[in-house]
Amino acid sequence: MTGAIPTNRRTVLKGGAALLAVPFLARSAAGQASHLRVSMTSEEGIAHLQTYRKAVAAMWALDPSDPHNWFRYAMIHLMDCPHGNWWFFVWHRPYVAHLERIVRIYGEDEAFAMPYWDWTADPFVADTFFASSTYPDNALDPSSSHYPDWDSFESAYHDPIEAFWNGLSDAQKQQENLRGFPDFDSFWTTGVQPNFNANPADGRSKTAAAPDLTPPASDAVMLPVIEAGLRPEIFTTVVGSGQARTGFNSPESQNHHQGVGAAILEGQPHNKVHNDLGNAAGGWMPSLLSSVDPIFFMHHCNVDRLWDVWTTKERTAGRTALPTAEEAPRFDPEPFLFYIGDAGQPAPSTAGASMDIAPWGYAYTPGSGSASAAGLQSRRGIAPNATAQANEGFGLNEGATASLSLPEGAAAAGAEETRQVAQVTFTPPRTVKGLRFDVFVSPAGETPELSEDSPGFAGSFEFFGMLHGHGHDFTAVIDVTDAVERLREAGTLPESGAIDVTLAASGTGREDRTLESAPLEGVFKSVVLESF
Amino acid sequence: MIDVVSGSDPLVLAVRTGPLPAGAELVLETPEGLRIGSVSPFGATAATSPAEQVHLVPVPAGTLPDGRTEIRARLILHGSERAATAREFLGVAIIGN
Ligand SMILES: [Cu+2]
Repeated sequence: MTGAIPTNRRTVLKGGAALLAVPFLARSAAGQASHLRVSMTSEEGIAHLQTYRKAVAAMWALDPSDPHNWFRYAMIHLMDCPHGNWWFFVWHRPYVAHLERIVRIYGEDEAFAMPYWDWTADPFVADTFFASSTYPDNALDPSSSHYPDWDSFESAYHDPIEAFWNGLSDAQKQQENLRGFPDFDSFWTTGVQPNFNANPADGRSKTAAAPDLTPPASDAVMLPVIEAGLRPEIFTTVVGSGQARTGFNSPESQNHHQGVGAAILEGQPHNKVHNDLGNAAGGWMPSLLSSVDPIFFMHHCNVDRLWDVWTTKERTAGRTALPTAEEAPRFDPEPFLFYIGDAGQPAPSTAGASMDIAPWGYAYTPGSGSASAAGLQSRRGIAPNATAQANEGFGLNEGATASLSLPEGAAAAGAEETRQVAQVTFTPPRTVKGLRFDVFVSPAGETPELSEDSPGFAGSFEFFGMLHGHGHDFTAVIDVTDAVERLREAGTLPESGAIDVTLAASGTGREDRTLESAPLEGVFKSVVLESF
Repeated sequence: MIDVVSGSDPLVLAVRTGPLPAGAELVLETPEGLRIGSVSPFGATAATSPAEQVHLVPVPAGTLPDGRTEIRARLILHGSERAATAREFLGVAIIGN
């Protein structure tokens, strides 16, 4: 971390998270949200992961008969998760949200909010999830001592889980029957055992030395795929017949245990990230016990965030973001009978009762796809945007500039509740340690003073827990509203027309040694300016 | 075979597959080897699930030439690969938005 402390003049963004929550809170949770879910690589997100680490360790230490035992909570996924059908998003919302509340107990932090893994901005497993000298037995690392091998697991868990199974209600047993587990023996031998990662050393394919997502996952998390997933304007993908249409959700099936296919966000980034975190040797994430790997919940938190982004986009456009009236009687009553609440109580629900985000009291900061969703609307004339290519090198205290021409109406910045957000895409230099990436706005043709005291200084982006740029392009989301307003108040920026966006690197004193030893050229690729 | 008519929006392909091995990737490409996208199964398929599954694959605008394109599939599983069988790759069509 750098030594600089953010002041109210500076918006320092870490690892792709933006701190401009206001318009999104207002829209997605009617201003009632008590907890803000942030990117797990942001400073705040990393702090939440400390709480999470503590909670995961405490939950592993609970007796296997305790429904809050970590494996027991993970087992809910094996018993009930929908994949490849239209209940995929809705089932996972309470599953993540109940855990968020449980973590507040075992992590002893009422302020805990589940951080999301914005794989588009951060296409790698963050350092926080690996054993390190600070956390040699890191409970967020499936190779740590918290994770049993098969033999010790079987001797400790078989009997308590059998006792739990015998206590299932008839309705629950009926669900397990639909799933292909008519009795406990079939559940244990065809459910638990084949999905169990027998050797803890194989728990996750990524390592601290090689944390990057690889193809096809690294392709599937890229922004154009996310945008394609957010583009649909109907809830349900319809396949077969002449009516085939792309929906946000996967196609309808007869019950939530049945897989029939996958829409873009489920099938592309969701499935491929799961599969990329395991390999031929094993791994939790490709299996139905994927939620044993704690990163599962950050992964699904991002999936839930994208659903919220889509919902907001749809409602802004005047649509319901719900199943049609014709579909609802088949969608809404689907029973979800295996959730466990924060008091350890069964928390059965239905699909229809699980749709809303508001009752859970959380909301999301904007991440990858947020600005795109507004852009998808803008092409329908709701919010103007502007895009410019830069493809220009930048370096330490050396800026690269893109010139945007703002369309008519984009000058609404400064109007009440309208924010302007720049998505700045750049290839970072090979070494990013100790560097900050500063974004400035200025009147067209004028070079801004590259200082955080400059009136056009809009904000910064830093990488956390990374020494190298991984060769990927990154997109930082920066709120430029205040900087634009300052320039307009000073009379230097006209209400419409052209505006320059400049990206430059700056460094702090302590890391100077690092700065000398590696080339500093990054490439400023492009910028998109959106109004919300 | 799919018929492409150029436009500015990305295409979405509906890819019909039979049962695929867990962890597999079904890669779609043209006979010339142009990679179009891929499908990776995840999650349970209950005993009652239909053998045929439909996966949506977005294809950026301009990836495919206008006109008729043949699409082939190969299957990659943990580093080894082979052509997909007729029971694994059932067909592909463009699906509307
Ligand atoms: Cu999942």
